[in-house]
This record gives sequence, structure tokens and C-alpha cells, in this order.
Amino acid sequence: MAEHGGTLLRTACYDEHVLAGANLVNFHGYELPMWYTNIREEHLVTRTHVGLFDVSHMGFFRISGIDVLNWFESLATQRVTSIPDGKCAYTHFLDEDGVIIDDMIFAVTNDHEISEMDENWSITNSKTILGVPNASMINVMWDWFQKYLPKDGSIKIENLSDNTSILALQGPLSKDSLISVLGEENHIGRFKGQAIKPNKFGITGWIQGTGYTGEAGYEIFIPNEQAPLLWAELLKDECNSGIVPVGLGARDTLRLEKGYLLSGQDFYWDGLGDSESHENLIRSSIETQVPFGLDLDHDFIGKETMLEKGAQEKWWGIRYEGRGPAPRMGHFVFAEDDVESELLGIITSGAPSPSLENKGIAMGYFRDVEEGQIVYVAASKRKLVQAKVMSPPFC
Amino acid sequence: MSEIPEGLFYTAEHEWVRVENDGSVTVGITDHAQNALTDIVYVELPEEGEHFENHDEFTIVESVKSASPVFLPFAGSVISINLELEDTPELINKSPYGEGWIAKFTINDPDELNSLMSAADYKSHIDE
Repeated sequence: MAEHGGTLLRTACYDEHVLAGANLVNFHGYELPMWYTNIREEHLVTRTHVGLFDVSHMGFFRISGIDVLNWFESLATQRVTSIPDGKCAYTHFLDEDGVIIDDMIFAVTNDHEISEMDENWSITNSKTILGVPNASMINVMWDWFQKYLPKDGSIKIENLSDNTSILALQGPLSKDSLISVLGEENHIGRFKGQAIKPNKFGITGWIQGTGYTGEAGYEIFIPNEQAPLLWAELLKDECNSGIVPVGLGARDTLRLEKGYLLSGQDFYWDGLGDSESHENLIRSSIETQVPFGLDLDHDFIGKETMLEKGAQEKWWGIRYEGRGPAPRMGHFVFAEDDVESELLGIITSGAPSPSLENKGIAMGYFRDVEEGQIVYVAASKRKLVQAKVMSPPFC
Repeated sequence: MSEIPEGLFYTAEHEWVRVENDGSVTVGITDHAQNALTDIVYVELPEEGEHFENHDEFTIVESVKSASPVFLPFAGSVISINLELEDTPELINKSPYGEGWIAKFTINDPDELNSLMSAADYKSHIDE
């Protein structure tokens, strides 16, 4: 991420997006592709072949120190000290009131790997965490970490977001695409990470086996100046994987089908202000029910308050049984086929699911529901649509 | 380049209106609209006999990304609906002025159509 185009930020691959005919939109202040051809097609290609995403709007923090894992764990819902070098994990960060500030994928690594990415790195036998804050939360998370940083300077945090581009390669054939450009030695398994090994295009940086689609794949962190080259080489598709560029629209439906939270849409930190219009989204980790990233066997900020408050409502999936307009953010969900019946909750994310023949799927916070229960979505003025409560993933 | 057939009426909200020989009025969305919506996956059709006032929402056309209400640019009642759209909503993408028509109406006051745009006016509107 780097330069300004008017009032919007542009990624290093902006010209490539324009050339590819992208429909560009303002996304949290960044000018990014919503789609290139259409959302449905890009979604399905990612499920069956491979999609390439420019996610450079997301941030990149490097946090180092001898005791960095213990420090990070004191802020994180994840059991950070259990993550070995070369592995990635998911976490939430809560404020003192137990409210989720943001979620994050991070990798744990060591001096050896960092010195492969950064020749100026000095070996001190410290550990390093590479964290990926959400685009709109980069400054917020920076301030949050600063607030709790030890005063003795034993932990160093760097914001590399502006100089780093992030390309995500996702789909069952992503390995073929990766190997054809970056070589076999840069293939890495799910939730593993490493410094990018020397390759024919001179691409340097960090690669990890993560993503936001539920498919096998990679997220590749490289200096901005290398991003257009890597983007173009991957799309040359010399391995015939069928790769296409994929926009934010399909990224959203891909993650929805897997039941992944979207920062700012499925949860919101009231520390940002305007809490009234986000009332339904001010939530704790136990309310989200995300089945990974929450470990209650260690102490972390917000834990006790979160447990005291408990969870009146929980984040569930619903899947249409009937036909009707898709469930969308803000739709009310009722217990019976009647808008006068009990209001169970409100949709936070929803869409027609491209993988399920456009059947409506959604997530939302609901009270007193159980798996398999039939509920009714007020999806339009004229119609309540029957749906079934379920735990994601939807497919 | 969007297709804008002559002889139809158009609205600023990208609907088209065609007066049939029998005096009934067929309504759909324009080529420009279907291009902007891309992958149409659902159409919520009105019911036969249903009456709408001018500017009432009479259908919802939905893509993966969003649901778009469609407004009737006159007052009238539904004579028939395009049932093909229930199973093949993508007909609107393929043939917005033909097989992708949405509904046919009686019209209370044909003079209401005089305030709509001609093909040339609509072309200038979307070129703006």
C-alpha cells in the first residue's frame, strides 16, 4: 500500500487492476477492485481453480523481542506461547470491557527467518510476530499495542504497512500457480510461514499458507516495487491453472460461506465512536462463537469482563429453505412467519451463495436459537423467507 | 456500449417502458442497468392483479452484491409477470429488452408516460 490518487489510496498494482478492467470502488479509503468480470464467476473460479487477490490495503506489523510471545499473549485471546516458529494463528484483541477491537492473523518466527528478509536485521535470539491488522484498524491497533508496550524498550514494533504489498493466491490449484512462479521451495502448507526463498524473479519477503476463502492458498508479503511483477507473472498462468484476478466482492462471499468474521461488519469496536449506529455489533469473542483463536486457559485483557458479561446472543449462520430475496445486513429475523412474532436477531452479513446455487446464506447475532431451528428472515417488504439455523461453514 | 432501443420510454433509474399494441405497458430494466448489476441471481416478482401507484417499488432485482428495488414510473395494475425469471433470472442479463422483461401492466393515465425519457434523452443521461 502506498501512494495517493486524489483522496483515495491506491495499491502498487493499481495500474494492473485498471488494465484488467476492474470495477474500482472506495473501500475504507482505498481504491480497490470490487470485481473484474462479475462476483459470481470470480467466486466459483476460486472454489474450483485459483484466484489472485490484491489485499495490500491490509496492514503488516513486525513485533520483536525476547519476550514478545508472552507480551502478545497478554493482549490476545489466542494462546500465543503455544505457537511454534514458522506457524500462523488467528486471534481477537479485546478492550478492558471485553469488547472485540479487531481480529488478526499472525505468524511467529525468529531472527533467522527475519534476517533472510532483511539484511540489516541484527541477531539477538529474539522472536518475531508478523501480524496483519485489518485495513481500517491499522492505526487503532498500532495505538492499542503502543499503550501496552513495556516501558523498558524490550519489545520493538514496526508498522511496515505502507511499504508492503499483500497478494493472496487462493484455490485448489494455487500450489501449481505458486510453484510455476516462485518455485517448489516456496510452497508452504496451511498455517505455516517462511521468508521467501530465492527465486527466478527476485521476489523477496514473507509467505504464509493463510487466506480468507477457506481454500488452500497463500498470502504473500512483498515490497511494493515487486508487486506488479509478481501480479503479472502469476496471471500469465504458465501452468494453466485457470487463475483469474478476484475482487473484494467475491472475497466477501467466499469468506461468508466459511463463516469468517469481517471486521467492522460483523463486529465493531465502540472505541471508534458512533456506537449507537453499531449497537448490534459491539461484541465479545464468546458471542462470535468463532471456533478457533479463543483460549480461556491464559490471562488476557478483557477476559474477566467478557466472562462476567456472558453471551445473551451468539453469532449463528442461517441458510434459506424457501425462496426470496437474499438475507442481507440489517434484515430482521423472526421466530415465526409473522413480523409481530419474537425478534430473534439481526443479520450482520448475508448474500446469495454462489457455491450453493445462489441460495441465501447469512450470519447474525441471535438469542435463544439452536442448530436446525426454523426462523424467518424479513428479506423484503412483502416477504418473510424461511431459513434454518446452522453452524458455518455453509459448504 | 449499452444498447438503447428506439421507441421505448426510459427513466433516470434505468427502467424501460414499452407501450404494446393492445395498450398494455411492459416494464424491464435497461442494458446499462443489467451491466452495472452484473450477475443477476434473483427477481422478486409482483403478483398478478396487484396495483401500484406511480413511483411504487414493484420488484427487487438482485445480484450477488446487492438487491436493487425497481420503481414503477406510472400508476397501474399487473396483468402478467415473467415467470421465466423465477428459475432463470439471468435472462435479464442476456436479453434485458426481450426475454428479460419483468411485468406487464394496465396503465391508469397514459399521459404519465410523457414525463419519461426518449432513447436519445436516456443516452445523454447515462453518458453524463
